[in-house]
Amino acid sequence: MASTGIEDVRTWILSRHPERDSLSPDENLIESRLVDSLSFVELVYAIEGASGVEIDFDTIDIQDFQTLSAIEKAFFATV
Amino acid sequence: MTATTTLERIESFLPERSVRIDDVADSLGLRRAEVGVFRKIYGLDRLRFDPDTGLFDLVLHSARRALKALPEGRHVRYVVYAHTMQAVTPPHIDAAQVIREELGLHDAEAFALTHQACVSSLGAVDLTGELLRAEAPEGAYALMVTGERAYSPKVQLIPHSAIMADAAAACLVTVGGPGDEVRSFTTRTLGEFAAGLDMTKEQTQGFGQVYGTVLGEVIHEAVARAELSFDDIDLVIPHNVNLVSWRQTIKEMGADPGRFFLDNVPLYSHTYAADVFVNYTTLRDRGRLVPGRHYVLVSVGLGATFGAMVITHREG
Repeated sequence: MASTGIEDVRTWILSRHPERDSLSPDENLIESRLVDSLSFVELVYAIEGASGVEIDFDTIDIQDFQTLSAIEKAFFATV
Repeated sequence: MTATTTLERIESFLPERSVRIDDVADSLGLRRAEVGVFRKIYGLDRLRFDPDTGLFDLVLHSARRALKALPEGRHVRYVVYAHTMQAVTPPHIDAAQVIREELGLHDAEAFALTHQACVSSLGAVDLTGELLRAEAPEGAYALMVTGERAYSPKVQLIPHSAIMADAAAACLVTVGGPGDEVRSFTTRTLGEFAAGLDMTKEQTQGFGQVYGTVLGEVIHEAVARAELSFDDIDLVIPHNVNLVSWRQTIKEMGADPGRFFLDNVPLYSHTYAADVFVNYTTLRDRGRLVPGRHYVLVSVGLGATFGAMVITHREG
């Protein structure tokens, strides 16, 4: 079952794309331009707001933002 | 048959002082997350930035080295200073005239081009070729000089896109010479984004939406005008705006990422209209440019102009 946090991120992305009503976990957010350069910083804040943790940029890479699955694994994985 | 434009010598110059983007974050007003995104998502890391280097110190270095390739007895008819920001000097200083005088090219006609922003340097190369063919004596040359300083935070940060850095380049141009042959030059200007740095959020989003598609189309159009296919292109030599916009463009084109030279993005960041020439010299100095192979020089200027020039490299 998906965590609530990642659902918040999914909702945030979909709210920026009213033409979409779904977003699969493995859809590439960057290549499909669901997240573009203008919105990347806002995505970071959406993830931080949903996870309650500041992202440590020294330990992440662009791959961690490519898909919802990757975001969930990088920022919402339960310990 | 009309002689083609040829690039007889390209030189570039970068100030020695190298800083990390974190070092300019405060002056640019960048928040922690913005720096992180620039570094990890956009692929920026270091840039050359030296407030103690003046504009003319910056641009004359590479201009003088390019001029050394001028054959004995030949003359430079045009000096064109191509820059991105409209204001690069105080209003009483005409930078193109100063560059001409400092280079001792007193008989040359000197003027500036800036209307295509970061594509202005490619545009200047194309224009000088046209002028040389149209009105210059046979065997005349032109010197394209580009480069400018990130002299203020207002011209150093393109929000959500790039952090600008210092660099310069110069290109000695003639027609029908033995240098790299210019096979085509294509531009497309989308006037709806003319506000540039002053675009609204909606305009910026619109620009981001069409960016990759239009840039890919312009590259393909330039290649087609050169009577080549993209498979004939050895490398795309791009501007250094950021990695994420290039990833999107490459995806739009369905191209092999290995054919886009992006090594300098984390080293130098975006150096206005000088990027493509800085990257050209990096590749040439590595021995990576192969005589007889074809290359595409690509840049995008705020305003918004997309430009691509196809060249065939020749033994220099």
